[in-house]
Amino acid sequence: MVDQGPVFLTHLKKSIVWLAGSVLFGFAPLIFLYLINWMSEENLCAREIEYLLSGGFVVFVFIALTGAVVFDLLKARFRVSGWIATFAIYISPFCVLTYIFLKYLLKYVQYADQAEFGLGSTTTRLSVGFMILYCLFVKTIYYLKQNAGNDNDI
Amino acid sequence: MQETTTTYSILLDTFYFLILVLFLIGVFREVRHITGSK
Repeated sequence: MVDQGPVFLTHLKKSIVWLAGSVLFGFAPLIFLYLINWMSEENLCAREIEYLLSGGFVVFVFIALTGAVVFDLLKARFRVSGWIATFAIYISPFCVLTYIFLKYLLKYVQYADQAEFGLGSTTTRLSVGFMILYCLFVKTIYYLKQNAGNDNDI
Repeated sequence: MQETTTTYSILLDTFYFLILVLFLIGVFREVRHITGSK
Protein backbone atom coordinates (compact mmCIF):
# COMPACT_ATOMS: atom_id res chain seq x y z
CA MET A 1 0.00 0.00 0.00
CA VAL A 2 1.21 3.50 -0.84
CA ASP A 3 2.09 5.60 2.20
CA GLN A 4 -0.63 8.22 2.33
CA GLY A 5 0.89 10.30 5.15
CA PRO A 6 2.30 13.01 2.82
CA VAL A 7 -0.90 12.76 0.75
CA PHE A 8 -2.85 13.62 3.89
CA LEU A 9 -0.67 16.70 4.49
CA THR A 10 -1.03 17.77 0.85
CA HIS A 11 -4.82 17.57 1.11
CA LEU A 12 -4.78 19.30 4.51
CA LYS A 13 -2.91 22.18 2.86
CA LYS A 14 -5.55 22.25 0.10
CA SER A 15 -8.25 22.40 2.78
CA ILE A 16 -6.49 25.26 4.57
CA VAL A 17 -6.31 27.23 1.30
CA TRP A 18 -9.98 26.43 0.60
CA LEU A 19 -11.01 27.58 4.09
CA ALA A 20 -8.90 30.76 3.92
CA GLY A 21 -10.39 31.68 0.52
CA SER A 22 -13.95 30.95 1.63
CA VAL A 23 -13.55 32.88 4.89
CA LEU A 24 -12.13 35.84 3.00
CA PHE A 25 -15.07 35.72 0.58
CA GLY A 26 -17.60 35.32 3.42
CA PHE A 27 -16.14 38.19 5.39
CA ALA A 28 -15.80 40.46 2.33
CA PRO A 29 -18.80 42.66 3.31
CA LEU A 30 -17.39 43.14 6.81
CA ILE A 31 -13.91 43.86 5.44
CA PHE A 32 -15.49 46.38 3.06
CA LEU A 33 -17.27 48.10 5.98
CA TYR A 34 -14.00 48.20 7.93
CA LEU A 35 -12.34 49.77 4.88
CA ILE A 36 -15.02 52.46 4.62
CA ASN A 37 -14.75 53.05 8.34
CA TRP A 38 -11.00 53.40 8.09
CA MET A 39 -11.20 55.82 5.17
CA SER A 40 -13.92 58.02 6.66
CA GLU A 41 -13.14 60.49 9.37
CA GLU A 42 -16.30 60.06 11.44
CA ASN A 43 -16.30 56.25 11.69
CA LEU A 44 -19.29 56.03 9.35
CA CYS A 45 -19.80 52.28 9.64
CA ALA A 46 -18.94 51.75 13.30
CA ARG A 47 -22.56 51.10 14.23
CA GLU A 48 -23.15 48.65 11.35
CA ILE A 49 -19.98 46.75 12.19
CA GLU A 50 -20.98 46.52 15.85
CA TYR A 51 -24.49 45.42 14.84
CA LEU A 52 -23.16 42.67 12.55
CA LEU A 53 -20.60 41.37 15.06
CA SER A 54 -22.96 41.33 18.03
CA GLY A 55 -25.72 39.75 15.90
CA GLY A 56 -23.66 36.64 15.14
CA PHE A 57 -22.31 37.40 11.65
CA VAL A 58 -19.15 35.38 12.32
CA VAL A 59 -21.17 32.32 13.38
CA PHE A 60 -23.42 32.64 10.31
CA VAL A 61 -20.46 32.67 7.92
CA PHE A 62 -19.01 29.54 9.49
CA ILE A 63 -22.40 27.77 9.52
CA ALA A 64 -22.62 28.42 5.76
CA LEU A 65 -19.12 27.01 5.19
CA THR A 66 -19.86 23.93 7.31
CA GLY A 67 -23.10 23.43 5.38
CA ALA A 68 -21.14 23.52 2.12
CA VAL A 69 -18.81 20.76 3.35
CA VAL A 70 -21.65 18.60 4.75
CA PHE A 71 -23.64 18.73 1.52
CA ASP A 72 -20.56 18.09 -0.63
CA LEU A 73 -20.11 14.85 1.32
CA LEU A 74 -23.79 13.93 1.30
CA LYS A 75 -23.93 14.50 -2.47
CA ALA A 76 -20.84 12.36 -3.05
CA ARG A 77 -22.36 9.51 -0.94
CA PHE A 78 -19.05 8.48 0.57
CA ARG A 79 -19.16 5.53 2.91
CA VAL A 80 -17.26 5.86 6.17
CA SER A 81 -15.61 3.23 8.35
CA GLY A 82 -17.87 2.96 11.40
CA TRP A 83 -20.62 4.49 13.52
CA ILE A 84 -18.29 6.95 15.26
CA ALA A 85 -16.90 8.22 11.93
CA THR A 86 -20.47 8.43 10.59
CA PHE A 87 -21.37 10.49 13.65
CA ALA A 88 -18.29 12.71 13.28
CA ILE A 89 -18.81 13.41 9.58
CA TYR A 90 -22.57 13.38 9.04
CA ILE A 91 -24.24 14.02 12.41
CA SER A 92 -21.93 16.21 14.52
CA PRO A 93 -22.48 19.42 12.47
CA PHE A 94 -26.23 19.10 13.06
CA CYS A 95 -25.56 18.63 16.79
CA VAL A 96 -23.50 21.83 16.87
CA LEU A 97 -26.27 23.57 14.93
CA THR A 98 -28.68 22.38 17.67
CA TYR A 99 -26.25 23.75 20.29
CA ILE A 100 -26.33 27.15 18.55
CA PHE A 101 -30.15 27.04 18.24
CA LEU A 102 -30.50 26.29 21.95
CA LYS A 103 -28.13 29.13 22.85
CA TYR A 104 -30.25 31.44 20.68
CA LEU A 105 -33.36 30.19 22.41
CA LEU A 106 -31.81 30.87 25.81
CA LYS A 107 -30.93 34.36 24.64
CA TYR A 108 -34.46 35.12 23.50
CA VAL A 109 -36.21 33.71 26.56
CA GLN A 110 -33.89 35.97 28.60
CA TYR A 111 -32.00 33.09 30.23
CA ALA A 112 -28.71 34.01 28.62
CA ASP A 113 -26.57 37.06 28.23
CA GLN A 114 -27.73 39.35 25.39
CA ALA A 115 -24.16 39.46 24.08
CA GLU A 116 -24.19 35.66 23.66
CA PHE A 117 -23.21 35.86 19.98
CA GLY A 118 -20.71 38.69 20.26
CA LEU A 119 -17.22 38.25 18.85
CA GLY A 120 -15.58 37.33 22.17
CA SER A 121 -18.40 35.23 23.66
CA THR A 122 -17.95 31.60 24.65
CA THR A 123 -20.69 30.44 22.26
CA THR A 124 -19.01 32.11 19.29
CA ARG A 125 -15.56 30.81 20.21
CA LEU A 126 -16.74 27.23 20.80
CA SER A 127 -18.96 26.96 17.75
CA VAL A 128 -16.52 28.67 15.38
CA GLY A 129 -13.67 26.53 16.77
CA PHE A 130 -15.62 23.36 16.06
CA MET A 131 -16.62 24.50 12.59
CA ILE A 132 -13.03 25.40 11.64
CA LEU A 133 -11.89 21.92 12.74
CA TYR A 134 -14.82 20.34 10.90
CA CYS A 135 -14.18 22.23 7.65
CA LEU A 136 -10.45 21.48 7.71
CA PHE A 137 -10.51 17.79 8.57
CA VAL A 138 -13.69 16.70 6.85
CA LYS A 139 -12.73 18.58 3.67
CA THR A 140 -9.36 16.77 3.86
CA ILE A 141 -11.18 13.44 4.18
CA TYR A 142 -13.32 14.46 1.19
CA TYR A 143 -10.20 15.21 -0.90
CA LEU A 144 -8.57 11.95 0.22
CA LYS A 145 -11.61 9.93 -0.80
CA GLN A 146 -11.87 11.80 -4.08
CA ASN A 147 -8.17 11.14 -4.68
CA ALA A 148 -8.67 7.46 -4.02
CA GLY A 149 -11.08 7.42 -6.94
CA ASN A 150 -14.07 5.31 -6.16
CA ASP A 151 -15.26 4.84 -2.62
CA ASN A 152 -15.36 1.09 -3.15
CA ASP A 153 -11.59 0.90 -2.63
CA ILE A 154 -11.77 2.33 0.89
CA MET B 1 -32.65 33.13 37.55
CA GLN B 2 -28.86 33.31 37.64
CA GLU B 3 -28.66 29.68 38.84
CA THR B 4 -30.98 28.48 36.07
CA THR B 5 -28.90 30.34 33.49
CA THR B 6 -25.72 28.77 34.77
CA THR B 7 -27.26 25.28 34.83
CA TYR B 8 -28.51 25.55 31.24
CA SER B 9 -25.18 26.93 30.06
CA ILE B 10 -23.23 24.16 31.78
CA LEU B 11 -25.56 21.52 30.30
CA LEU B 12 -25.20 22.95 26.80
CA ASP B 13 -21.44 23.32 27.07
CA THR B 14 -21.16 19.71 28.31
CA PHE B 15 -23.22 18.63 25.29
CA TYR B 16 -20.84 20.61 23.06
CA PHE B 17 -17.69 19.05 24.52
CA LEU B 18 -19.18 15.56 24.22
CA ILE B 19 -19.81 16.20 20.51
CA LEU B 20 -16.31 17.63 20.10
CA VAL B 21 -14.67 14.56 21.66
CA LEU B 22 -16.76 12.14 19.56
CA PHE B 23 -16.00 14.23 16.45
CA LEU B 24 -12.24 14.16 17.07
CA ILE B 25 -12.24 10.39 17.71
CA GLY B 26 -14.36 9.78 14.60
CA VAL B 27 -12.22 11.95 12.33
CA PHE B 28 -9.00 10.42 13.67
CA ARG B 29 -10.33 6.90 13.04
CA GLU B 30 -11.53 7.77 9.56
CA VAL B 31 -8.22 9.39 8.58
CA ARG B 32 -6.34 6.39 9.98
CA HIS B 33 -8.66 4.10 8.03
CA ILE B 34 -8.09 5.97 4.76
CA THR B 35 -4.34 6.44 5.09
CA GLY B 36 -3.96 2.86 6.30
CA SER B 37 -1.57 3.70 9.15
CA LYS B 38 -1.50 1.44 12.24
